[in-house]
Amino acid sequence: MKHRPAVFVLVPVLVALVGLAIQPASALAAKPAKKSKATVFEACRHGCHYRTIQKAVEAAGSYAFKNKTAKVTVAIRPGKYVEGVVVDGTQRKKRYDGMTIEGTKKDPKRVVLEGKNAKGELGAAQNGIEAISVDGLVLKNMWARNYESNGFFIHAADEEGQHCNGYTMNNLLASGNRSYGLFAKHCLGGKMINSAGYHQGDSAFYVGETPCDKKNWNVYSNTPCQKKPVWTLLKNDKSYENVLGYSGTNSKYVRIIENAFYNNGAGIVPNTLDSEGYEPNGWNVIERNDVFWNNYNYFLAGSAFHTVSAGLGELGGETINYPTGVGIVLYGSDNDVVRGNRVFGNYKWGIASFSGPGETFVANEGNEAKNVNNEIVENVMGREGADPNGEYDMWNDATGGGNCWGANSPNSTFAPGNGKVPLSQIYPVCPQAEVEYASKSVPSINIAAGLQIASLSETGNPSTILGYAGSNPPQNQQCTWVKRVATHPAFQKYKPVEVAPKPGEVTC
Amino acid sequence: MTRALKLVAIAVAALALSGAAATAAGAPAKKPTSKPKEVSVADFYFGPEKLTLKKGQSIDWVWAETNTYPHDVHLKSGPKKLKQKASYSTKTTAVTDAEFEKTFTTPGTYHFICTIHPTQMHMTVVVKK
Repeated sequence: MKHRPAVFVLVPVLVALVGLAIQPASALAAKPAKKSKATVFEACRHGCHYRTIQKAVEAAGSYAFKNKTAKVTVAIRPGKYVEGVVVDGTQRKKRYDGMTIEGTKKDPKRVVLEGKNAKGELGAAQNGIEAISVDGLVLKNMWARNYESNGFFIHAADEEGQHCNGYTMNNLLASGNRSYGLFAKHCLGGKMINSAGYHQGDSAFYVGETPCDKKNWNVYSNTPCQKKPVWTLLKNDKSYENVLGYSGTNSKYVRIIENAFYNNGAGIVPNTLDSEGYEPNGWNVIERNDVFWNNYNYFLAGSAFHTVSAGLGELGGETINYPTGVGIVLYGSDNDVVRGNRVFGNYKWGIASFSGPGETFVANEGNEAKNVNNEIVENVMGREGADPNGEYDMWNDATGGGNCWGANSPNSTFAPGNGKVPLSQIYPVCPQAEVEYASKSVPSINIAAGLQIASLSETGNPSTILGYAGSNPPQNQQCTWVKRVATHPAFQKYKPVEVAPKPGEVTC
Repeated sequence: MTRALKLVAIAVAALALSGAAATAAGAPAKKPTSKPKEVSVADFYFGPEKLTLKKGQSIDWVWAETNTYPHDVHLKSGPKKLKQKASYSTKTTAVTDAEFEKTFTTPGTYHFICTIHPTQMHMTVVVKK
């Protein structure tokens, strides 16, 4: 007890001393340079005041908080930054909305955010940049690689006060990240443009859990998720050698336009899963993309990357993995439009569409993964015969309803299943009347056509989606790939990349 | 000695003194009374979902190696008298190779969620006197 008065006196003095010692160090800092309209905070490895991106971001956030109308930019000079940057919009006395974080050179490879040996709050740094509850963040001209989670991750929680109204990810490169390259979740609108990603353990580009106007919205309510949709744009991106080129779990209002998805396990995969909120995915437009050579069998030991996914669910004791060798997959999609894409050289199927069969499929307990009201039109398949897709151009499991196919290239091929259901019923021509999601005549399971599953007791038939995706071991998916040409004809400057199995690794 | 070096020296000395003062005041958190209880942060659950601790015990949340999705630990509600509530939540998300340790010195009931997966991932911690 007798020491206490002394401590009470000593502590404020010491705090004041520390404060005095720190203050001049701040004074040594060059004042942020004003560059035309934005106030610039510069980070570089040597010669700048901020030697880490994190410090520059926090200084910029403080400055923006004090100067409410200021536009701030964090400019990163070329170099390698071994750190995981956190832009935490929930922090007090910081403002990150509208901030730009950009490399100073147009070549994204000049500014590297390196995940290897980078440390973060919880151990290993998880993301190159993680932005939480920030509106209108702009990320440009950077390369994020080798992170435990993702390259660039912008998100908000479905919590009171959290928000993510738009973002721009422009001219970014992401590689070797454990899950995703460019990742946005629970955001209203945004842009992922002019960017590229490779060697991700899931997808290079991911838009997930688009929020709806009402928190309790569900697909059975027969109302739109957003009355005035706020769109997300993916344009002029390149995605190659990833588990998936694009994945969008429960994503909505996403325009995926004029990108290239090639040499992935599968190219473009909007999907519906219980793991995220606001099921299902839907109201997306996938248009004028090049989707080709997605035959990278990442289940093989020689793969440069491996999937982090434990699969889509289980059926009959088998794990249902993502299908490989497929260009575009609609999995539990509602009102998606797939139009005018060039889809070729995928060894299993060009464009596949299927539902998650409700209660019998662990991944979709609420039966919210039905394929309904989708349009697959005006696509050019197999380069008009020069580089065909493998088994079939079009594959549909005959579930759902209101889906239609029209004006795709004339020689397109359609998977017939067991032949008991006419092709005109499996692939109805456009237009079709919209169906109601909840209607009992719109099933998520249909064994009649032999495309979803051959019979309730048989799970292993690879001409069904569940049999194919449930191949055991999973690398055996390639047993039923069909290579219709010895080598792919040249396409622009691209080169096909495949994994060679080791002896005995594939047991067909 | 340059001015900058002098300033650094003053700062280091002051920090050292302030550390000593804090120790004298008994400010640092008390050592946990036993090994931390480990809680797995896995794709879409905390394991276990319920824990009872004695005052002064800790929890070590460990992210599972098999995770695919990002998760965080967020204190949704705690005892009324709880101070520094924000320190009971992680600031960031993680998929794997991550740990978060926290010592509980205030008795009461704590509810945690993952803000990324709030409907699936929740846990309750009861801290007894």
